[in-house]
Amino acid sequence: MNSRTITPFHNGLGNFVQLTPALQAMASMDPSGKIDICADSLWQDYRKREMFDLWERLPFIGRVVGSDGLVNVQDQYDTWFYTGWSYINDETMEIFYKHKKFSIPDWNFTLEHETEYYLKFARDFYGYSGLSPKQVIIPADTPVIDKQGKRVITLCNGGFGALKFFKDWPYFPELVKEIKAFIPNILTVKIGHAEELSDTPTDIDYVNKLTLSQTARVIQQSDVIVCTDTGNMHIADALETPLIVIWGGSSLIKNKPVQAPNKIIHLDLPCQVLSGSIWNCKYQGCFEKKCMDNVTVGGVMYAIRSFLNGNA
Amino acid sequence: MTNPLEMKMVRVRVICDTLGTARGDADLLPIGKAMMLEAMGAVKIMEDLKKLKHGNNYVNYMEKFKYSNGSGTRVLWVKNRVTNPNHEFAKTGQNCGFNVVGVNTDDPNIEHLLRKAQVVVIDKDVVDFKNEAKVPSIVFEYDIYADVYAFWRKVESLIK
Repeated sequence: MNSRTITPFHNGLGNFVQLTPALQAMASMDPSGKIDICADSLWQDYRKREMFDLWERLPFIGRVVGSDGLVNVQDQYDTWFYTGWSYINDETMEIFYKHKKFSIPDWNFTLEHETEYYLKFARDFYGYSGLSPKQVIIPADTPVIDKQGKRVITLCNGGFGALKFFKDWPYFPELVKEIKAFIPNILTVKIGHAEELSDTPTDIDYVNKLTLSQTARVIQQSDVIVCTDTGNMHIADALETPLIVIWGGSSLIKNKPVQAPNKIIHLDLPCQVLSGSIWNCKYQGCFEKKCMDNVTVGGVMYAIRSFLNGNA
Repeated sequence: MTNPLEMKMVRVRVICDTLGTARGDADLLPIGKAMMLEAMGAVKIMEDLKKLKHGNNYVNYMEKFKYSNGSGTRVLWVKNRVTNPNHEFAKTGQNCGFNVVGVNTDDPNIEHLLRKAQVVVIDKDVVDFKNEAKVPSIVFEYDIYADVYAFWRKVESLIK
């Protein structure tokens, strides 16, 4: 049975992870138990390929429809789940708009976590009345890390496009040096995309070598993840892998981890936005990036030691 | 007799990491403490304030642990006036997440700091002070702890 519910998606990895509770809620109301996704046919960057890798593993996701073909199959759908935070092209969005019978709440004033924001649509506008589902990601079966009896610390210094500027922490090389010198029986691993962490030597280097579901498998096997606010942080959150997050200019209230044990290192600078849209943050035009550069290696090491010692 | 320098205040700015990046609000410390912390690498006295000023002699000793690197295991390094905590050891400790604050044995506020500390490091020159420690303590002797990381691992093992 095909789903008669569809939602558009063209957004970040983290946004998708945070959307999964709402997708499950919507899928549960469809007789098929699934929700289809309309993906932007013109979407070019690497995230699209990674999304497909995640989507095909999730049991509540049915078919993926290219936006250029949506007009031909629109009669197959009764429910058009729209949250206002995925934009494809005008023609495709017009199809969703004509089924929308509500005004989009302004994220800047709702002060909600992104997960709750999406779920509210399912409840308020589409009639979902069940419990709040959890974020869900299903990892691949490989790679399996040969831990050799050691604990695993996985590092990620991610961030996409222009957002990477205020999600980049410059001291990962120094941090790895202290981790290896101080913590016995530890295995350091790095994950991510492109040239991320190229200056940071680790025991295992998975950067740019894995699919996203394989990266999720690495995260799942880790004892703690040290990262910035990025897609892999949200995957770790969904997998409930302990997290230490070095937080920069993005919205803490909107994007903080909600499922995994976590320690957020946030300097509470006046310019760091806590709520609302990231675009309200004063980092616009910021060239200093104090929110990241002033986080010390010692501060991160303290968080790591606390986690590994069970004192977090 | 109180060291006259102890009654004079300077404004210090907290230095948070090995790269010397400043952060946090400047705060007041007595010059003796500030110089000691600077010797440990925990703070840096602002150049324009190194000229001593008389003024408010209030010192929030209970908040003093904040001044080294903002967070971390609170380690009190007890010494006498003629010795300084070994700079390399203090700096490495900070990089590993230990919030190291030094204090002289005759400091009138040492009782407050002892209650705040999680671990006390005692210089071998003041080894008798070990009986005063109210939390787990370790005697520091440079010749014994040649491996600085092994020393801090030992400190960590003492945390309750």
